[in-house]
Amino acid sequence: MTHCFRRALGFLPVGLLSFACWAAQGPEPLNMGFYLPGIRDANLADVKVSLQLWAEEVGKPYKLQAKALTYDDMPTLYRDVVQHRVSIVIAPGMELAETFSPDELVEGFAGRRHGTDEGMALIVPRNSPVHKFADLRGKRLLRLANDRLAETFLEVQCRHQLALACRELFSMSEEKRDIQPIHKVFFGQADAALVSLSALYAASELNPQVAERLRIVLDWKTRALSFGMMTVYSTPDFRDLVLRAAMQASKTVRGKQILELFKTDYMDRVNKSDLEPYWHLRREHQELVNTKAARKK
Amino acid sequence: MNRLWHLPRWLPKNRMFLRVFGVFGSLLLSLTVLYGVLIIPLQRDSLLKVLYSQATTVSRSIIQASSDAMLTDDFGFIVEHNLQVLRNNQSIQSVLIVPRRGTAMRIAPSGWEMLETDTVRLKPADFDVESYGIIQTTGGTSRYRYTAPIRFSGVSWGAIRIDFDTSEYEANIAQMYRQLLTISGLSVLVILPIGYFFALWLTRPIATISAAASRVAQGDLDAQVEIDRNDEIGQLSRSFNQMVAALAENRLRLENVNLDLEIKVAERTQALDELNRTLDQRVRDEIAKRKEQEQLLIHQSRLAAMGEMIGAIAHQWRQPLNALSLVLQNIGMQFQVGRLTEESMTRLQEKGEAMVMRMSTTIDDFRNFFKPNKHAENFNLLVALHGATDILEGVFRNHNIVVNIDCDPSIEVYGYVGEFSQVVLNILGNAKDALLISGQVAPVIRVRVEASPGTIVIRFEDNGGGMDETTLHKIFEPYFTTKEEGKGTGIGLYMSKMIIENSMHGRLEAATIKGGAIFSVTLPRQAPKQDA
Repeated sequence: MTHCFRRALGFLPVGLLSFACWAAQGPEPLNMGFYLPGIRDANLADVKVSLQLWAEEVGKPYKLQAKALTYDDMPTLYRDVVQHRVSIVIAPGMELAETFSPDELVEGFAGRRHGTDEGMALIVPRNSPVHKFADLRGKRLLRLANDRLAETFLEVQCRHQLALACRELFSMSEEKRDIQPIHKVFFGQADAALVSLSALYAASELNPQVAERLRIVLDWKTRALSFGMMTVYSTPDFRDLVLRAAMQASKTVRGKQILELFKTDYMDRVNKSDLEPYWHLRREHQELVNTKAARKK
Repeated sequence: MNRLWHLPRWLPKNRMFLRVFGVFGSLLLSLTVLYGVLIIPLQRDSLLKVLYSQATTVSRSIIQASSDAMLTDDFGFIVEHNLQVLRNNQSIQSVLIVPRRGTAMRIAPSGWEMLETDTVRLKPADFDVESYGIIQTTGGTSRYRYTAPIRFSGVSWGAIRIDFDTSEYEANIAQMYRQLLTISGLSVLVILPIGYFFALWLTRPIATISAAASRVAQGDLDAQVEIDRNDEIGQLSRSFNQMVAALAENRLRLENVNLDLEIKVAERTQALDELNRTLDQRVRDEIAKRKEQEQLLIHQSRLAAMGEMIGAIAHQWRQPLNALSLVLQNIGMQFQVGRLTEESMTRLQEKGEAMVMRMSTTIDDFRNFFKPNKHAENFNLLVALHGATDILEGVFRNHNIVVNIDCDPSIEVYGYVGEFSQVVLNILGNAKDALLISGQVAPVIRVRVEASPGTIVIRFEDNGGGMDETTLHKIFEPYFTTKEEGKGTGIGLYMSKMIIENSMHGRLEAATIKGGAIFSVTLPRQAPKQDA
């Protein structure tokens, strides 16, 4: 399972465990909202079924009617959250930052692995003449498709360092799976790629030659790439139950099974401050875009 | 048998049970083991074929899916695809893709790496033909290795080598062995009670019948077996009971018969004792009776001989009597006519006296011939033969019977010449009778004597027609005769055989030849010791 898929599903245990804890309190149904475009390298129909089965299995001890809701766009998901049809939002950090304001998200969970950072990295071959971002001019660059974080990050760097849109600086291609850009750069089919750190670590684990032959030119680190966040629209008691359940997740048999299933080592508690790099990046991006627009005017 | 005492107590001690039990158990166990021995290699081959099929499928799948990538050197895709294949196939340990030009790739579930082609141990043949089989690694583990060439449109691109984990294969093999052991163990567990009860079911009634048979053999005819079954053993037991009942009945009957027999034996023993007491007297009586009969036979024989002699004398005397009658008639006629002179009277008297003398001599000859010999002595055979033929000369002449005697004059025989002459007379007389009965125109009797160092054989051969088989077999029996009643006594040849064989220790035999009969008298050349 690729890192991208893990990242997309990494917050599933959080949701399931939160659901389990919440279900213990009463008969009120619990819905989890999953943003599907964030899930890659998997058959979506299978993912939907898996999410539903897991939700029901977790809810069964609490005799609750549980449901896993999936969404193809964030506005719809946001609407259901506001209307209390969804209690937990599971989505990539950049999409969360773009959809929710810091006042709406309170706290949540993220699946993490021991000893690895999370974030983005711009990689090039070790013998590449590219040593800084500006050296990418005229090069072939790869990034993950439908990745708002990569898109935003690159635009910010292009505009910030070279005052140009990326499409004006280098040719950029998209790959469906995050391991593909790494291999393309490794085999010399691309000059550079923006990949997640977890994908890069995973590729290096699979082949140490990757680490030997590639070099990181630029990186951007964060607490996690995907989150399971609870909003101000849920009660504090519910959020507290979910929090405690998440903390116990890595200790119970079922919790360990879920963590193992989604290739995460443990659940880490996060709060809205952990999304601040995303909000910051979004603001910076908006400012740069707005600045360029103002110049054109 | 002593070994049987070491068997468990619950195991019956009869041999048949042990054999049936042993054969039954061994057979089933052997079948189970044989099944395993036969089926495991087949299963092993089948598993290897499954591995081969899996290997070819995976190999073709990888090559087909990666063909574009291989042709465009999109190694990233090759790696990702094979990683995906490895994730989906837990049994694949590694995939090695070796292009003819460029860098080889080794992809494993734990990762992948680029390898210099010259470090990859592939044989040149691996680029042309596929190879497969289980190999042993240096670590002692085994794996199934499949190597196949990669070709596109007939052009060799490289080769692919896939190593499969054989743990499942080995687990299957091990499981087969475990199953075989389990089945064998279960078979033993099943065979033991089933075989025990089967052998018991089969042999117990036989043992019961055997025990009953032993009792019967020891004389207990009250032994009965109580086996109520509708099969052959039940039939055997019923037959056994019937047999024992019949035996008891027969024994009772036999005892009665024995009792009767013992009574009869006692009676017979008593009679036998009585007989034994009178046996000597009866033997003496029988001997005396036999002697009396022999004397009677001898007397009859002598009477017959005397008859023969009187006949012969009559033949001898007839001619001189006629001549004497003529002499007397001549004397009377000469006297009546007055011609009887002294001279003629003297001549006629001398003639008459000569005739009387001749008749007297004839009587003397006959008397001498029939005079019994008191002692055996040597006598000339030719003289004896002539003596006998002379007696019958008149008879032979009267019937024109020619007698030829061919005998060496020097041959002498030791014995009783009178009795021998009587034998010769009997044989010649019978020959004469046969010649007369046959009506032979030229009747001949040939007497030939053949002498050898040990024996003398005298053959009397006639041409009187011979004898039939019945006559030949009975010819020497007493009172047997083929002659008309009153003409033969039937004791002549019997006495002749007695004389030759008892008195002269020879043999007298008769045979039929062409146109006649032959009587052979065989005599020893030297005198018997008791007579010497």
